[in-house]
Amino acid sequence: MQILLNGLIVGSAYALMGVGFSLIYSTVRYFNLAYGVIAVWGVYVLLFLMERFAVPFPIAVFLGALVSIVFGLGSYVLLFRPMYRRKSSPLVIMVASFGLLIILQNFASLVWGDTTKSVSLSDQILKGYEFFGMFITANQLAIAVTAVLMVVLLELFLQKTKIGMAIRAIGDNQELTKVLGIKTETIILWVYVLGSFLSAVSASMYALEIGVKPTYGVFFVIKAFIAAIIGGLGSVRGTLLGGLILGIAENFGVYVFGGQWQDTVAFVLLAVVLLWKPEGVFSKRRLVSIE
Amino acid sequence: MKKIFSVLMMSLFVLTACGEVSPDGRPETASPENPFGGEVIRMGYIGPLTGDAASLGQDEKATLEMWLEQNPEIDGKKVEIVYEDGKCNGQEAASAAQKLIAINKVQVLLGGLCSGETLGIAPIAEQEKVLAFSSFSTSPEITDAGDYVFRNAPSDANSSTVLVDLVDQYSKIALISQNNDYSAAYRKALQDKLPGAGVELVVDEAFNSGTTDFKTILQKVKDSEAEALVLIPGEVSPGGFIVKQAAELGVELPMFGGDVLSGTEFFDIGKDATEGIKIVIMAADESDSVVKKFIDDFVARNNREPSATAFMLLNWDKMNILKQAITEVGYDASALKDYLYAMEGFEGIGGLSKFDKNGDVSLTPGVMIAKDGSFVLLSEDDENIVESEESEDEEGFDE
Repeated sequence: MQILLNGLIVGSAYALMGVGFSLIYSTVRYFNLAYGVIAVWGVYVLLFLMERFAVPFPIAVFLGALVSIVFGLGSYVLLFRPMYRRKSSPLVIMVASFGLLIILQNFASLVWGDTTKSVSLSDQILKGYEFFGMFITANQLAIAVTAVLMVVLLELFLQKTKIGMAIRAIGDNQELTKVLGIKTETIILWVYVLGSFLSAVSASMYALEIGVKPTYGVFFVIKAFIAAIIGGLGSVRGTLLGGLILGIAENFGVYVFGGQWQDTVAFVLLAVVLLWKPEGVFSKRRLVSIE
Repeated sequence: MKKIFSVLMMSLFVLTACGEVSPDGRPETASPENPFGGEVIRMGYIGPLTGDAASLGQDEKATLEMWLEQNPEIDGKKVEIVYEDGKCNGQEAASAAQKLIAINKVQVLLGGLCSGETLGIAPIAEQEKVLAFSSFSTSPEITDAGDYVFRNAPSDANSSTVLVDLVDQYSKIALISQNNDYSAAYRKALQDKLPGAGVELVVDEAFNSGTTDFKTILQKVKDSEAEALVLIPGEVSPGGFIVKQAAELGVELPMFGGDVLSGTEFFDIGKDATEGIKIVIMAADESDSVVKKFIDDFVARNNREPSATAFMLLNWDKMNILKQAITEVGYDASALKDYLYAMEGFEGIGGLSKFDKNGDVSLTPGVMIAKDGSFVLLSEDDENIVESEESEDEEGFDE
């Protein structure tokens, strides 16, 4: 049970990370590998605000996420949009996003240093709470509560607001939404805002557990990517479940096979899903090839 | 379908390939101003200037720079050090060594710092007949790495013996180590020696580099009957995360570790949970006036405390040993090698150094305990405190 709980909580961070990735993919149809490192920048800003100006953690998370949004929008407007308009292939844009990942990562090590920096709610290590024979730490609780809150807000946003509905519409059929007179350009900007915000918040929460360092951008985007593919690229609920499955599988993998098998379990899971159901375990749609 | 599949696999490949990208592959110093040797004694440094062990590498670099400021010349010749980033990785260190030997024409390689680096450098040093001299690598494998490979840091073969002596009061212990050269060798030494001391390893987990979440491994420890936890990570930050997450999960076992835990990030991450952890390390006696002066100078110059003081002292000693050797026999690797094997013993600030036939030093490591955010030498008082805290333990603390 404890392993299941650990897995669920890590999985909820992966899930949030994956949802943002998946949303961006569903509207623009290319992989944005710089997605994780943009979140890392948000965490660094959070840490800076907490250390320098003693900004309380929740506010710092929000402000850090705003910086990530600026980075996210900047990357789209300055790099991806011109390429997208020029009808560059998704593969070319992905390579460009990889370049951006390296640039932002190196820039992060230049500004913030290479060492792992810890992010914590207090100066002391807080012992966890015990219930029904299981242990949940303060950080885990914070991650779980935030994840649930974000998912509820996201669902409300996507289901109840006009922009949310437009985002879903574009995800379903971009050409048709254009015909219907929805401004896809504005909606894509909104998706970048949403995706960057989600990734920064989930990275900030996960940073309570693992701290932050420049190379985490790669780690985050790999987890987001796997969660999104397991659940079904473009499907919000699928990706959420995909993240949870990934978290649980990794933790059981560690428990059963040992620590060195954690990544292997994740990639075996990915390979199995790609072979068996490449459109994602929870996707109702069949895959069509991308242009 | 085929197309999306190939895009997926391609991106996966790109992502996994980019693993740890570090910003600084370029040399710290520009190409040599004096390619013909002449009156310049040029040495090469290889250590992790970026990455997980960067705090140690940067301190080593600062120590060497400090030494150079005080000893700009040996025997009337200008001394220069060219710094290269080995990234705590054998492959990177090997290319750095190739570059330093081929382009900078060095006779002496200072380093590596990580054992993996030194093991990567060793075959090249051996082939090119260039001296490789580490003050930090402690893996037992380095003992047989070659004639040109020296170190004045004690081998983990010695350290693991001290560690086994420290934990032989327990009958069952858990071991968490990392999948890298240093940890694997240390782990093997413990696996070999613990049964002889009557200690059973009930959990023996090795994690991959880059792992940050240890809760499930710690759950295994919690579910076992282990009476103590031994941590042999190969990098500083995972050590901090293990200690932090253990405290959060309520794993209240006495903890012991290797010298890697002595980096500053350990306390930054582990905070108050680090209190009382004992490590086997080449320990510096900070009450000693010479040691104190070194630390004061270091702080004055770099605005920070050195992270693994004892090893910085060994670096200092290494430079003085080399200075003495170069003055005696000149700047030639083969002559220096012969000199070091024959050397009677060098009384430095880190202790008396004398090399055996494998280039290993005679020093033995000591035990330090974490107290208020730094490691201090274990004193009689600490042992008494530990004993009263672990009141259930009938046996005394034998060391």
